[in-house]
Amino acid sequence: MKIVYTDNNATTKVADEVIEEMLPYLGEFYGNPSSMHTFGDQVGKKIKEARQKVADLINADPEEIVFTSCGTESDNSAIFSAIHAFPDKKHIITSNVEHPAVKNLFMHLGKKQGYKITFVPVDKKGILDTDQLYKRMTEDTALVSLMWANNETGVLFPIEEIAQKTREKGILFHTDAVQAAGKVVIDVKKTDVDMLSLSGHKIHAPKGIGVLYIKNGLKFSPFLIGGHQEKGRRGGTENTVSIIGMGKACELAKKNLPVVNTAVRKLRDYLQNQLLEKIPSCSVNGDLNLRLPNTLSIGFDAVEGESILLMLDRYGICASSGSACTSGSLDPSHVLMAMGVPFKSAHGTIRFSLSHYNTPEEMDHIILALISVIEKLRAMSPFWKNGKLI
Amino acid sequence: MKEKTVTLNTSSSDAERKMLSDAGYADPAIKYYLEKKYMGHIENADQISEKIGSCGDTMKVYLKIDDNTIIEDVRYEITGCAGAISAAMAAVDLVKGKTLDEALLINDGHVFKALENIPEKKHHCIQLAVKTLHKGIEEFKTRQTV
Repeated sequence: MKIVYTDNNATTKVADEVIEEMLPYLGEFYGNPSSMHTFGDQVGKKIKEARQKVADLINADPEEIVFTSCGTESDNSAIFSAIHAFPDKKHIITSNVEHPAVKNLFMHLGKKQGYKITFVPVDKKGILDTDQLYKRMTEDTALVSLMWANNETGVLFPIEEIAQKTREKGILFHTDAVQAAGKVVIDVKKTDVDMLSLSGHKIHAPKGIGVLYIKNGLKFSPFLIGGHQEKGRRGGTENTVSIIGMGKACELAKKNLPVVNTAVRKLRDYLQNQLLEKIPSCSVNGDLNLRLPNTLSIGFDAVEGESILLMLDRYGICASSGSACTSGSLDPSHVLMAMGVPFKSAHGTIRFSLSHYNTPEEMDHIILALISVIEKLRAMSPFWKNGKLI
Repeated sequence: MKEKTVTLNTSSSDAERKMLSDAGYADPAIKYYLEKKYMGHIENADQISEKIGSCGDTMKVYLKIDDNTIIEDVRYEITGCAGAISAAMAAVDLVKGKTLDEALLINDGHVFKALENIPEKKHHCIQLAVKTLHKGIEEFKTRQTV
């Protein structure tokens, strides 16, 4: 059965070009880039090349790029470094729709290290309450950490404006740009962030490689203390193969950015509009305009998300769900709850996240499958009678 | 974008079966989920009761009761996951033909045994299936004594 993969905010296919770029360094060229011989140095040169390509994606300088093991490590490194830089400041700010990599670390810092945490709310469209954010920034605030784009709804935060405000107030600003990379333009010369996290496996590189951008001149405390690698900012022998893959993936992401914003957006909009037209009682979560071009979070009343996923699996369709049953806890997605999405809709929410590998035919396949799946599930729902929500 | 006819693969549930198995559902639980043999409603049911679970899954139970004593038939309508559906279907097999009082003695452990296994995070689904059933029986009995 053909797989229709629309779960790209969870992870992506490693691009063929990325695999091709990596393979020689998994086999023949296994040298340590730190070694004082030509065999190791040729790997060092390739890493330098990769660092430049990553820098080019976000318009950074190559020395501002630090390779890590994943997005979570990048987020943790940035946040710990910021609070170490200002040991006397005991207040940190984030939003209430962050990825667990940031949300759970903030909660940990609040519980275990006595930090006062502000979780800035979002409105029903997932838009950040920036008035609240700016009001809560004080002289005691060490850091503001906010995601560039939400992984569940795709809603974008006004990172450029927030970066200006934090700069004016002398507060460090970190952004988790894991979902934004390759989907919106990121220019750190224009958007004055101090630190920014990226993850390889969201942009067609392998899992296990991340990046932390650290603005030139920023005082930084390493999270992993060890050797001199990454100019002392991240100890540990480099994951050479994945770094090289990440470089290629960033080069491709830059090249494909216009495609994601035209062809992929068109596919997403087609899928969204067809579902809204052909399936009654469903609604899109999140602002329709301030949103990633590849993401569609859509809630179907009177059904449950995990059941939808199970039945979609029969058609080879991969997506994800915001229901309580899928979350592994008794609560549905914290993002949808923070937005005030009604429970009946959140419980039946499915996220489709596309990539440039998707086709119009695949969208038609999803639409037909979903019409059938929702009809079957509603036929056994206590909330659905005679084609209507009761 | 031009609409196209897409052939849908609905004939095989092998992938679904494997996924459920990998997630920790035992074969009897998977069978209950896939067959859904007691899903739906009963016309002229003697009792209809509804309960919402801690996760938000919702069940409506329809009871057909013979001579105010014996559970002749049971059907569920469910907005819920595979855990909820398999647990409810298994519960019906345990109470059909039993007296109301015997059915009230059926507990989560009996249903779990009938399913053989479901993932730990789905154990609350069993509670919902049993509680909904018991609620139906209790409400029926209350109505009889009023």
